[in-house]
Amino acid sequence: MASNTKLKNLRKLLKKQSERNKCRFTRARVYEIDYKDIGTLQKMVSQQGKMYGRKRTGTRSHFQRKLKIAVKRARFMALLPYVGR
Amino acid sequence: MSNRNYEAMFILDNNAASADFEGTSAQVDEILQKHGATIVQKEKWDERKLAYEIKGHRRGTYYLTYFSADPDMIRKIDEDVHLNEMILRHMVLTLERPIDEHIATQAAERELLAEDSRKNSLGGWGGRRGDRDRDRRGPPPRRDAAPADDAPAGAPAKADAPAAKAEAPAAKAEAPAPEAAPAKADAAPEAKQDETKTAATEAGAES
Repeated sequence: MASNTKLKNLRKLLKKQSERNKCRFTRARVYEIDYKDIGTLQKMVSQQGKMYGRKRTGTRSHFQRKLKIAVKRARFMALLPYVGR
Repeated sequence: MSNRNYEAMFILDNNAASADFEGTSAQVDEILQKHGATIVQKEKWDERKLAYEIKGHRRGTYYLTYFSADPDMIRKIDEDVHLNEMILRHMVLTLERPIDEHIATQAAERELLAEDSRKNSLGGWGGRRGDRDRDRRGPPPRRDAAPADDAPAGAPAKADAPAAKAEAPAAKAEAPAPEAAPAKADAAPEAKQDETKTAATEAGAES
Protein backbone atom coordinates (compact mmCIF):
# COMPACT_ATOMS: atom_id res chain seq x y z
CA MET A 1 0.00 0.00 0.00
CA ALA A 2 2.85 2.29 0.83
CA SER A 3 4.26 1.85 -2.64
CA ASN A 4 0.87 2.75 -4.06
CA THR A 5 0.80 6.14 -2.34
CA LYS A 6 4.39 6.69 -3.37
CA LEU A 7 3.46 6.02 -6.98
CA LYS A 8 0.54 8.43 -6.68
CA ASN A 9 2.80 11.13 -5.30
CA LEU A 10 5.29 10.55 -8.06
CA ARG A 11 2.56 10.87 -10.68
CA LYS A 12 1.37 14.09 -9.07
CA LEU A 13 4.90 15.48 -9.10
CA LEU A 14 5.45 14.50 -12.72
CA LYS A 15 2.17 16.10 -13.71
CA LYS A 16 3.11 19.28 -11.91
CA GLN A 17 6.47 19.37 -13.64
CA SER A 18 5.10 18.64 -17.07
CA GLU A 19 2.63 21.47 -16.48
CA ARG A 20 5.54 23.74 -15.69
CA ASN A 21 7.26 22.84 -18.95
CA LYS A 22 4.26 23.81 -21.08
CA CYS A 23 3.55 27.09 -22.81
CA ARG A 24 3.44 29.94 -20.32
CA PHE A 25 1.03 31.94 -22.44
CA THR A 26 -1.45 29.09 -22.60
CA ARG A 27 -1.12 28.64 -18.86
CA ALA A 28 -1.79 32.32 -18.16
CA ARG A 29 -4.67 32.36 -20.68
CA VAL A 30 -3.45 35.41 -22.50
CA TYR A 31 -4.98 36.72 -25.71
CA GLU A 32 -2.12 38.83 -26.94
CA ILE A 33 1.55 39.39 -26.16
CA ASP A 34 2.43 42.99 -25.46
CA TYR A 35 5.74 44.31 -26.75
CA LYS A 36 5.96 46.64 -23.71
CA ASP A 37 6.05 43.72 -21.28
CA ILE A 38 9.83 43.47 -21.27
CA GLY A 39 10.04 41.15 -18.25
CA THR A 40 8.15 38.43 -20.09
CA LEU A 41 9.93 38.97 -23.40
CA GLN A 42 13.36 38.78 -21.79
CA LYS A 43 12.59 35.29 -20.56
CA MET A 44 11.96 34.15 -24.13
CA VAL A 45 15.21 35.59 -25.43
CA SER A 46 18.83 34.55 -24.87
CA GLN A 47 21.55 36.72 -23.36
CA GLN A 48 22.53 37.73 -26.87
CA GLY A 49 18.98 38.74 -27.75
CA LYS A 50 18.13 35.72 -29.90
CA MET A 51 14.71 34.17 -29.45
CA TYR A 52 14.61 30.71 -27.87
CA GLY A 53 13.08 27.93 -29.93
CA ARG A 54 9.72 26.38 -29.17
CA LYS A 55 11.37 23.14 -28.13
CA ARG A 56 13.22 24.90 -25.38
CA THR A 57 10.43 27.07 -23.98
CA GLY A 58 7.50 24.78 -24.82
CA THR A 59 5.56 27.68 -26.36
CA ARG A 60 2.58 26.78 -28.53
CA SER A 61 2.98 27.71 -32.19
CA HIS A 62 0.10 30.20 -31.99
CA PHE A 63 1.91 32.16 -29.28
CA GLN A 64 5.35 31.71 -30.78
CA ARG A 65 4.11 33.63 -33.81
CA LYS A 66 2.68 36.38 -31.61
CA LEU A 67 5.86 36.39 -29.60
CA LYS A 68 7.91 36.88 -32.74
CA ILE A 69 5.97 40.03 -33.56
CA ALA A 70 6.24 41.32 -30.00
CA VAL A 71 10.01 40.75 -29.88
CA LYS A 72 10.50 42.50 -33.21
CA ARG A 73 8.47 45.48 -32.03
CA ALA A 74 10.42 45.63 -28.78
CA ARG A 75 13.67 45.54 -30.77
CA PHE A 76 12.56 48.39 -32.98
CA MET A 77 11.75 50.50 -29.92
CA ALA A 78 15.18 49.67 -28.41
CA LEU A 79 13.64 47.78 -25.52
CA LEU A 80 15.50 44.62 -26.56
CA PRO A 81 18.79 44.42 -28.43
CA TYR A 82 19.05 43.22 -32.04
CA VAL A 83 22.47 41.80 -31.18
CA GLY A 84 23.73 41.17 -27.67
CA ARG A 85 26.33 43.11 -25.80
CA MET B 1 -15.32 59.24 -41.53
CA SER B 2 -14.75 56.01 -39.82
CA ASN B 3 -11.95 56.54 -37.37
CA ARG B 4 -9.74 53.80 -36.09
CA ASN B 5 -8.01 53.35 -32.78
CA TYR B 6 -4.24 53.55 -32.53
CA GLU B 7 -1.54 53.10 -29.99
CA ALA B 8 1.62 55.10 -30.57
CA MET B 9 4.91 55.00 -28.72
CA PHE B 10 7.48 57.76 -29.17
CA ILE B 11 11.07 57.83 -28.00
CA LEU B 12 11.82 61.43 -27.10
CA ASP B 13 15.22 63.08 -26.86
CA ASN B 14 16.16 62.52 -23.24
CA ASN B 15 18.04 65.81 -22.86
CA ALA B 16 15.00 67.81 -23.85
CA ALA B 17 12.47 65.61 -22.08
CA SER B 18 14.25 65.51 -18.74
CA ALA B 19 14.47 69.31 -18.75
CA ASP B 20 10.91 69.96 -19.91
CA PHE B 21 8.78 66.86 -20.45
CA GLU B 22 5.53 68.81 -20.80
CA GLY B 23 6.96 70.94 -23.59
CA THR B 24 8.40 68.06 -25.62
CA SER B 25 5.36 65.83 -25.23
CA ALA B 26 3.18 68.79 -26.23
CA GLN B 27 5.01 68.82 -29.58
CA VAL B 28 3.86 65.26 -30.17
CA ASP B 29 0.30 66.09 -29.16
CA GLU B 30 0.33 69.06 -31.52
CA ILE B 31 1.32 66.89 -34.48
CA LEU B 32 -1.42 64.38 -33.69
CA GLN B 33 -4.10 67.03 -33.20
CA LYS B 34 -3.06 68.88 -36.36
CA HIS B 35 -4.16 65.85 -38.36
CA GLY B 36 -7.47 65.49 -36.62
CA ALA B 37 -6.62 62.82 -34.08
CA THR B 38 -8.41 62.82 -30.75
CA ILE B 39 -6.05 61.75 -27.98
CA VAL B 40 -7.77 59.48 -25.50
CA GLN B 41 -4.88 58.76 -23.17
CA LYS B 42 -1.27 59.85 -22.90
CA GLU B 43 1.40 59.04 -20.37
CA LYS B 44 5.12 59.11 -19.78
CA TRP B 45 5.78 55.39 -20.02
CA ASP B 46 9.37 55.23 -18.87
CA GLU B 47 12.76 56.89 -18.95
CA ARG B 48 15.32 54.22 -19.65
CA LYS B 49 18.55 53.18 -21.30
CA LEU B 50 18.14 52.23 -24.94
CA ALA B 51 19.21 48.75 -25.99
CA TYR B 52 21.31 50.34 -28.72
CA GLU B 53 22.20 53.86 -29.77
CA ILE B 54 19.64 55.80 -31.77
CA LYS B 55 20.90 58.96 -33.47
CA GLY B 56 23.76 59.10 -30.98
CA HIS B 57 21.54 58.83 -27.91
CA ARG B 58 22.03 56.20 -25.22
CA ARG B 59 18.98 57.07 -23.12
CA GLY B 60 15.46 57.98 -24.11
CA THR B 61 12.12 59.01 -22.66
CA TYR B 62 9.24 56.83 -23.79
CA TYR B 63 5.95 58.58 -24.39
CA LEU B 64 2.86 56.41 -24.90
CA THR B 65 -0.34 57.70 -26.47
CA TYR B 66 -3.67 56.20 -27.42
CA PHE B 67 -5.75 58.07 -29.99
CA SER B 68 -8.38 57.60 -32.64
CA ALA B 69 -7.83 59.03 -36.09
CA ASP B 70 -8.70 58.71 -39.73
CA PRO B 71 -6.58 55.91 -41.28
CA ASP B 72 -5.51 58.18 -44.17
CA MET B 73 -3.93 60.65 -41.78
CA ILE B 74 -1.52 58.16 -40.21
CA ARG B 75 0.92 58.55 -43.09
CA LYS B 76 0.94 62.32 -42.70
CA ILE B 77 1.46 61.97 -38.96
CA ASP B 78 4.43 59.68 -39.69
CA GLU B 79 5.94 62.24 -42.05
CA ASP B 80 5.61 65.06 -39.55
CA VAL B 81 7.03 62.98 -36.73
CA HIS B 82 10.05 62.11 -38.85
CA LEU B 83 10.74 65.80 -39.39
CA ASN B 84 10.71 66.56 -35.66
CA GLU B 85 14.19 66.29 -34.17
CA MET B 86 12.99 65.82 -30.61
CA ILE B 87 11.48 62.44 -31.54
CA LEU B 88 14.14 59.78 -32.00
CA ARG B 89 11.80 57.02 -33.08
CA HIS B 90 8.12 56.17 -33.09
CA MET B 91 5.77 53.31 -33.78
CA VAL B 92 2.04 53.44 -34.47
CA LEU B 93 -0.01 50.28 -33.97
CA THR B 94 -3.59 49.67 -35.01
CA LEU B 95 -5.87 48.42 -32.25
CA GLU B 96 -8.63 45.98 -32.95
CA ARG B 97 -10.60 46.76 -29.82
CA PRO B 98 -11.84 49.98 -28.20
CA ILE B 99 -9.03 51.81 -26.45
CA ASP B 100 -10.15 51.51 -22.84
CA GLU B 101 -10.93 47.83 -23.29
CA HIS B 102 -7.52 47.30 -24.86
CA ILE B 103 -5.71 49.04 -21.99
CA ALA B 104 -7.65 47.12 -19.36
CA THR B 105 -7.08 43.69 -20.91
CA GLN B 106 -3.42 44.44 -21.55
CA ALA B 107 -2.86 45.35 -17.91
CA ALA B 108 -4.76 42.26 -16.77
CA GLU B 109 -2.76 39.99 -19.08
CA ARG B 110 0.52 41.44 -17.91
CA GLU B 111 -0.55 40.70 -14.35
CA LEU B 112 -1.52 37.13 -15.31
CA LEU B 113 1.85 36.49 -16.91
CA ALA B 114 3.70 37.96 -13.94
CA GLU B 115 1.78 35.79 -11.52
CA ASP B 116 2.33 32.72 -13.67
CA SER B 117 6.08 33.24 -13.73
CA ARG B 118 6.04 33.79 -9.96
CA LYS B 119 4.23 30.49 -9.48
CA ASN B 120 6.39 28.50 -11.87
CA SER B 121 9.67 30.27 -11.38
CA LEU B 122 11.33 27.29 -9.67
CA GLY B 123 12.37 25.58 -12.86
CA GLY B 124 14.08 22.24 -13.25
CA TRP B 125 13.51 18.96 -11.49
CA GLY B 126 12.77 18.90 -7.79
CA GLY B 127 11.75 22.51 -7.29
CA ARG B 128 10.31 23.21 -3.84
CA ARG B 129 10.86 19.71 -2.55
CA GLY B 130 14.62 19.96 -2.72
CA ASP B 131 14.58 23.25 -0.86
CA ARG B 132 12.57 21.79 1.99
CA ASP B 133 15.07 18.97 2.47
CA ARG B 134 17.94 21.38 2.59
CA ASP B 135 16.21 23.53 5.21
CA ARG B 136 15.75 20.55 7.51
CA ARG B 137 19.40 19.57 7.26
CA GLY B 138 20.62 23.07 8.03
CA PRO B 139 22.76 25.26 5.78
CA PRO B 140 24.58 23.47 2.96
CA PRO B 141 28.29 22.71 3.40
CA ARG B 142 30.54 25.52 2.31
CA ARG B 143 31.90 24.65 -1.07
CA ASP B 144 33.77 27.85 -1.84
CA ALA B 145 36.65 26.95 0.51
CA ALA B 146 37.26 23.42 -0.75
CA PRO B 147 37.72 23.72 -4.54
CA ALA B 148 39.91 26.84 -4.22
CA ASP B 149 43.02 24.71 -3.72
CA ASP B 150 43.24 21.32 -5.40
CA ALA B 151 45.96 19.41 -3.53
CA PRO B 152 44.80 19.62 0.15
CA ALA B 153 41.09 19.31 -0.72
CA GLY B 154 40.67 16.64 1.96
CA ALA B 155 41.61 18.90 4.87
CA PRO B 156 38.82 21.53 4.66
CA ALA B 157 36.23 18.84 3.95
CA LYS B 158 37.17 17.04 7.15
CA ALA B 159 37.00 20.29 9.09
CA ASP B 160 33.50 20.84 7.77
CA ALA B 161 32.11 17.48 8.84
CA PRO B 162 32.32 17.77 12.67
CA ALA B 163 30.88 21.29 12.54
CA ALA B 164 27.85 20.02 10.63
CA LYS B 165 27.38 17.26 13.20
CA ALA B 166 27.57 19.74 16.06
CA GLU B 167 24.89 21.80 14.39
CA ALA B 168 22.38 18.99 14.09
CA PRO B 169 21.85 18.46 17.85
CA ALA B 170 21.47 22.21 18.30
CA ALA B 171 18.60 22.16 15.84
CA LYS B 172 16.99 19.27 17.70
CA ALA B 173 17.35 21.05 21.03
CA GLU B 174 15.34 23.95 19.71
CA ALA B 175 12.00 22.39 20.63
CA PRO B 176 12.47 21.82 24.40
CA ALA B 177 14.67 24.82 25.16
CA PRO B 178 13.93 27.61 22.66
CA GLU B 179 16.01 30.20 24.53
CA ALA B 180 19.25 28.27 24.72
CA ALA B 181 19.11 26.76 21.26
CA PRO B 182 19.44 29.94 19.17
CA ALA B 183 22.62 30.86 21.04
CA LYS B 184 24.07 27.47 20.19
CA ALA B 185 22.89 27.65 16.63
CA ASP B 186 24.51 31.06 16.31
CA ALA B 187 27.75 29.84 17.80
CA ALA B 188 27.98 26.76 15.60
CA PRO B 189 28.23 28.45 12.16
CA GLU B 190 30.75 30.94 13.52
CA ALA B 191 32.97 28.18 14.79
CA LYS B 192 32.56 26.40 11.48
CA GLN B 193 33.55 29.47 9.56
CA ASP B 194 36.63 29.96 11.72
CA GLU B 195 37.67 26.40 11.14
CA THR B 196 37.31 26.64 7.39
CA LYS B 197 39.16 29.93 7.40
CA THR B 198 42.08 28.54 9.35
CA ALA B 199 42.11 25.46 7.13
CA ALA B 200 42.21 27.67 4.05
CA THR B 201 45.02 29.82 5.44
CA GLU B 202 47.03 26.74 6.36
CA ALA B 203 46.53 25.31 2.91
CA GLY B 204 47.66 28.64 1.44
CA ALA B 205 50.82 28.56 3.60
CA GLU B 206 51.60 25.03 2.44
CA SER B 207 51.30 25.79 -1.23
